[in-house]
Amino acid sequence: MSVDREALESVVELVGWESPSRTDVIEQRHVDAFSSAIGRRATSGRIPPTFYASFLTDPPPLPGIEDIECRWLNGGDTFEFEQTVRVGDSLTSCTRLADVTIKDRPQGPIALVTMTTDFFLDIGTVAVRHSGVRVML
Amino acid sequence: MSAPSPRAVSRQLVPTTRTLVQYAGASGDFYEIHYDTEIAEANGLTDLPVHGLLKLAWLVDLAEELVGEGPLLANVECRYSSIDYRHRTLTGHAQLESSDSHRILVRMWAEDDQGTVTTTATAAFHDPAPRD
Repeated sequence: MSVDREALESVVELVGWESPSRTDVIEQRHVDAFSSAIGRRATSGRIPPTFYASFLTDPPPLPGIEDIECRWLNGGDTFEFEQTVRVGDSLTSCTRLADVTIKDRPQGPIALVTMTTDFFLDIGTVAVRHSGVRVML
Repeated sequence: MSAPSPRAVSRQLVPTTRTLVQYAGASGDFYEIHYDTEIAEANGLTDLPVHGLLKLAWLVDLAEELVGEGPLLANVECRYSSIDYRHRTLTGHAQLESSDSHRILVRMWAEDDQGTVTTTATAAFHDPAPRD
């Protein structure tokens, strides 16, 4: 089974789409559950760097995406850390469809879907930026 | 005088169904291929795949173990080149690439039980003073 190329082209048209923003309070028990789930050994007391993935939605919640028959794979993730986030902080995040690149392969087309999410602290500064490449095939 | 820091660390992991479900619950990633074998197989997978972000979390933990508690992570980049499955031994590695008074670069990778590198990543750490 391969995904329909026209369907992938419809996703290209969504580039620039932004999700509604959401605000989450960093809770100690959530951090503890995440640390336990990843078997964390680092003992600095800091929030695990990939914890912010908890506020992402995979596969990406693009409009109409559930109507496209396809498989999803994770191609890559990037995190940039600008400000220290602590338990008790409120983080407001917004996800943007930054890019869609279609590639043709003998097995059928695939799309590399790049989503970027900025996480803001109360004071309005970007604390963490995540960029993820998800593969539709 | 303290012992010199190691230049590389490695760790083996065998992700189980519980590992995947526990991560799904903690991260909120409930994409069914990670816990429903029928859906995984319908998607062309041979078993339940390990979340890419879970592999990255393991590798970042290794990198933090390598550099110690002082430096802060500035950025991390990861690429997943192959799928890893539950019950298969994963070996994670973190290796010091370069280090000066301002920046530490760590290279990480994971390989499966066949020795195939499935995940590669780099992490940059910096001194905590400018930010904290």
